[in-house]
Amino acid sequence: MNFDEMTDYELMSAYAKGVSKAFYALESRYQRQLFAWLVSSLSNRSDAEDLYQDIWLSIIKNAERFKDVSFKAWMWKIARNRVIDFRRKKRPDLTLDATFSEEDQPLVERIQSLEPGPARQVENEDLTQKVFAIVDQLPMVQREVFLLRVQGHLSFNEIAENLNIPLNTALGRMHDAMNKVKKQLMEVL
Amino acid sequence: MENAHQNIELNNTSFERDLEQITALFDSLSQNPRLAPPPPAIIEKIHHEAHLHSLRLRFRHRMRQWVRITTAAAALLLLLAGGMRFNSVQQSNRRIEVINQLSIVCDTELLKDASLETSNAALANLLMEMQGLDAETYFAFN
Repeated sequence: MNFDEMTDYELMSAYAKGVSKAFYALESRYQRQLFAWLVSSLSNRSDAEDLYQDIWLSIIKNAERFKDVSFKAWMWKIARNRVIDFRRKKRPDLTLDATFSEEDQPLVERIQSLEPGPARQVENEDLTQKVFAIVDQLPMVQREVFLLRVQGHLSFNEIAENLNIPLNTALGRMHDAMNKVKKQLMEVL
Repeated sequence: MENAHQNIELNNTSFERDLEQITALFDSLSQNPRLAPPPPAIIEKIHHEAHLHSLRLRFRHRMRQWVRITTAAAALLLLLAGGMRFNSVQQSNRRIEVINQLSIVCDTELLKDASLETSNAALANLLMEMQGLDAETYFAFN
């Protein structure tokens, strides 16, 4: 069985029949984008790791209930709900200047505190810091749409479905977010 | 990194183009160690849990298959039993029909011999005997 060529639905169906390797392929397919989205959304790698595990365990437990829907949309819905629950339990919102424990400090500060590496890496860190500082300043509703699009690679239809908002609202929020990000990127870069 | 900087040439571009460039920028930023994939320990834990659950899923899947096959076999057996019962009832009805004919033409003494246990052929012979007919004449009349 070549899992790389299988669709998400085929992989989930195979896993529902007990083929564990199908699940590994699925997890690996979305690993990078889901985790990057979690880190960006939570501004904390440690929390992102916990939630990443939590999301996949939830997918495992609900594998049998997975019906003929888009796996991507289903997974993002689970991920988003987990993030909302997490925020509700832990804190009302994240801001750039919020102070938490060392592990909880915002991404911007943590990137600053990274040990200096080769010049290229420092440059990358610097850019990452600037970009995420800009993204963190976006209102929550815009940031959500923005990150689902640029990191989750979800279509606007999927985003609208996921967030339970009309398509035009999703497009409008993205448009506003893009304008703000564009404007600020041009100032800082 | 130069690519990432080039991607930020956002002036006078359409929404789709801006989106494409920003997505490319984020893709390039995902190489940052902070956005790198989760540690192998977490992946292993997820995979381990997935493997354990897959055993349960496989068992349930096989049980479902077994139940499906058993149900189909039971349904087939029921169908066969129904068919046999139907056939038996039809044969009984045919015998009752013959006895009814006998009751019309015979006295009760003769009916004593014509029990339900008698085969169709014997009953037919008895009927013909009582009517004083042979097989050929009987079929010519009926």
